[in-house]
Amino acid sequence: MSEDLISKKELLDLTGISYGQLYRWKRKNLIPEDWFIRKSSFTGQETYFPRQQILPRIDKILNMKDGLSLDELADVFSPALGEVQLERHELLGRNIVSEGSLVLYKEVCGEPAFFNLDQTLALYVLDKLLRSGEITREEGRMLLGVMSEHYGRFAGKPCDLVLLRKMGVPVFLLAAGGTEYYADSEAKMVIKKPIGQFTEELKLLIGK
Amino acid sequence: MSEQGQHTGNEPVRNDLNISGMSTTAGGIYRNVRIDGMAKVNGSLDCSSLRINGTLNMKGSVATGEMTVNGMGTIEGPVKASEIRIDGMFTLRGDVSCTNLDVNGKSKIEGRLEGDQIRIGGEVGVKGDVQCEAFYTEGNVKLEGLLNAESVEIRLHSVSAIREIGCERIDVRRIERGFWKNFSLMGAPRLKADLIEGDDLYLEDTEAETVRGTRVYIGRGCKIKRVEYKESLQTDEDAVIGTPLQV
Repeated sequence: MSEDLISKKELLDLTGISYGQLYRWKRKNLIPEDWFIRKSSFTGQETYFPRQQILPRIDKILNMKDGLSLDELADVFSPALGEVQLERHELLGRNIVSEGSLVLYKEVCGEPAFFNLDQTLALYVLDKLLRSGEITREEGRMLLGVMSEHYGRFAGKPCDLVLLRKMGVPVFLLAAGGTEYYADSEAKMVIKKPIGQFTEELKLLIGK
Repeated sequence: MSEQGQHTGNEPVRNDLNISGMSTTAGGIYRNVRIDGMAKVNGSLDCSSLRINGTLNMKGSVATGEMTVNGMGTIEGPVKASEIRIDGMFTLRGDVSCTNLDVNGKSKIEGRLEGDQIRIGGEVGVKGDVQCEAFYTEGNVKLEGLLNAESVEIRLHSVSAIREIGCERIDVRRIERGFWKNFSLMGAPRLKADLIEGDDLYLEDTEAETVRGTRVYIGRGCKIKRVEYKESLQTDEDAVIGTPLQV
């Protein structure tokens, strides 16, 4: 999969940020190290970024930096989940997930007294994808299975959620961030989203 | 660091460790560690302060408040400390993270270096990337990765090389030397770099492939192949510049 890249120069022009800001955010881990992709060009080495990830990230940093310190922002963007316990009514009351997703969760994983962040994340991903109509309830069950069984293995490292469908048969994958994978031509890739995107949104929702 | 030497909760009692003469130890948790002779530590050290006057050969990692080296030695594992001062000769094979680093001796770091304030008066080589808020050197540095700092100040005595610099401000100046010192063995003072990027750049005696900045001053003795600037570019007559380009 060839990713759409943006050069550093283009990025600075487009977003209006300065070199100092870019390097400061890198130091504070607001922009992960592996987004800096070095390639040789006619002027020597050039740095590129994955366009789909860097642009929304910079937008978020610029919009949020007035309210939060850089270190707090770094926590939001870090893929590691902290320690939080949420009760069912809190999840519903704060509009983190909907009733329907909770019911489905209960069918698959049972109902815990508290939802820890891993469980909340699985729920949140489920809810988001169900609401957007990208997956069916049946696929939602598979998603919960994959998330609860395997997400812990990534131990805070970035990973992607992938949904493939071939002839109506869905397959979920959790793949370490940045890996390449290829499927046969009849398989359709329906979803490919970094889990980090969900953790960021979730942390902001919880933090409110 | 926890309460020094006091028994608090489940924190172990910290004793002092003094080594004079030759000895081998396993490492462990201590309060103040002082090495005057020759010591070999096979494990890791967790201590409030570590002072090395003799020779230390260490296999594990170090976590300490204050680390001072007057002697020489090697640490194989990563080092975490709030203050590090190296006046002797030292090799650190792992990553180093600290608040303040002061090197007046000679040292080699084979991992990454992370800190807040880094001052180098002696000679330092770093294989990995260097990250800090303020980087100041009057010495001789050879950084093979990216130097990422809020402010970089370099006073040139001899030849320094930094592969890549990304910062907000950089200030590179030659130190005026007496007439006789111009004939020193080390050659003309110089900073060599592949790439320098920042908002406010002031460069003298710098040799670089590419310089990119917002406000750029290229001073005497510079040799730069490609300059890209956003707002302003000033150049000294005594600077050689390939292609200036406003972007």
